[in-house]
Amino acid sequence: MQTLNAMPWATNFWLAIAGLLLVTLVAGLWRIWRGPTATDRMLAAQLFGTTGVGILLALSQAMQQVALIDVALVLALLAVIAMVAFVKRMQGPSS
Amino acid sequence: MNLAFDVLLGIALLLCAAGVFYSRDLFRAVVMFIAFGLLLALVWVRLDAPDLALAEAAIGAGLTGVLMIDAVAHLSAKNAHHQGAQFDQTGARPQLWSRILPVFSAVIIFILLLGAIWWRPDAPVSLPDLVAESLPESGVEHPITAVLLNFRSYDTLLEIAVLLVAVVVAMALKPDTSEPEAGNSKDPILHGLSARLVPPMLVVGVYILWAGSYMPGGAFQGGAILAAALVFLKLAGFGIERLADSLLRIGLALGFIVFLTVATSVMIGGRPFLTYPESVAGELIFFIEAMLTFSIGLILFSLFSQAPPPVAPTSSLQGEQDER
Amino acid sequence: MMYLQIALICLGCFFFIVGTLGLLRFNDAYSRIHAITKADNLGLGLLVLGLLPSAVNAFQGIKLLLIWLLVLVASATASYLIAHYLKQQQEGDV
Repeated sequence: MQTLNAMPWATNFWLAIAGLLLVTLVAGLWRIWRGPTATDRMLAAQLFGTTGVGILLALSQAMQQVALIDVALVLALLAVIAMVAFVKRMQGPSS
Repeated sequence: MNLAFDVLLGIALLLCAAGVFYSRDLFRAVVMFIAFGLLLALVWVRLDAPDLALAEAAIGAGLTGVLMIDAVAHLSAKNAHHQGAQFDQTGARPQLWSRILPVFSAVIIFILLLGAIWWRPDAPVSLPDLVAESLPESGVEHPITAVLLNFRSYDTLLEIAVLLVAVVVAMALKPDTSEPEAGNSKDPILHGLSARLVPPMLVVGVYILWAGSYMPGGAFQGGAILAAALVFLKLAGFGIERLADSLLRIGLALGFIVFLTVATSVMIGGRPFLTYPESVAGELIFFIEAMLTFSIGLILFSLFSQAPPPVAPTSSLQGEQDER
Repeated sequence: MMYLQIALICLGCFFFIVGTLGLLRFNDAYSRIHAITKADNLGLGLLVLGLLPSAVNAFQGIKLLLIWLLVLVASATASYLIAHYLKQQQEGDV
């Protein structure tokens, strides 16, 4: 059974996947810009965390860097903290 | 494909930076900045610097975002208290000189950087080769850690000193009247999340520290994760300040003290300042790094926790919550 | 194995795209919560499954699964928190 990475075009495939995810991330920037409320912006940031993990995993294959999985792990652990801080600290009138 | 990805990443980064600068809404700028941190981590990945990507992911995605959201919350609470207004920085028009000065200095810096690239020394010393050559003497297998903790450990020592000074200043600025975070806790699901998320954070923090001796990782990244775990606990409403306060006074300086003690005690054996004996270099580096992780975690956490909790403009809301 | 991997990964990407579309096109924050949490976590899960056969060793594979699990726990709770916050805010306005 051959895995994907045995193929000569595997690197390009992974890069294409990472690029596709990056495009969705750039599209998400629009939601941060438009808002309209702070909550919508934080939701976009949440999306960025998940997509960022996906991009890092794809890049770890494309660049054959095992260490990038650690980066993805750290991102997965810490991305939620900003959200918790937002909910806990912005319990005032919405901006 | 490589080029296409990098160009796309660069464009995204520039868009994000523009979003930070041109946004009048402070909160929008903050969220843009969080996204910017994530993209910057990806840039470090593409530049083959996973160590920096790790640090950026921990600091940029985790801690900076929290600090900035906290700051915005303070500002809006303050404004709501004083005049019931939202952020009022839209009204003030900057003076002419305050526009020219940044542009001018940016141009100067740009020219200097250009010059630095243009007039590089002709026969540059290949630093990576130099490091690879003397890596066996350093006691660790990962070149970045070898540079940070052995070859150029003087820089790291001073960095820790700078962090220590920063946190001392923050503590000095702390107002005396610090009341505990009122009515902000007791969300069962948040408690549940912290019970499931904080232990893995601590484990990953230690893992990253341990990994530093043979692959990307190290004291700073581990410390940032430790700090994030502490921040999380505080946000979830666990009263860890009291625990942290007694710990803080020992912990903050511990890394620096240990580092300096090791650095000077090797001089007893007739070695120059900060050169470890080769036979125990690996163990010494790990010991120093472990202490540094602990201290850095506490330092970064106390930069957050020393700020007073925001003046809650939501006393009515809180009352409602209690009745239920 | 290879075709399975490609299928899983492409499906994962599809869900990422759908999630972003939802974030952009849905009308209010409540619906957007659905878009990002459900679609994106499913997308990440499929991506992780597609990655598993390429993992260098078992340890890396477990780490990949752990990442997915952590993202699931974290973002499920985050969406609860934000929905709770929204609801509280709206009740506060009335």
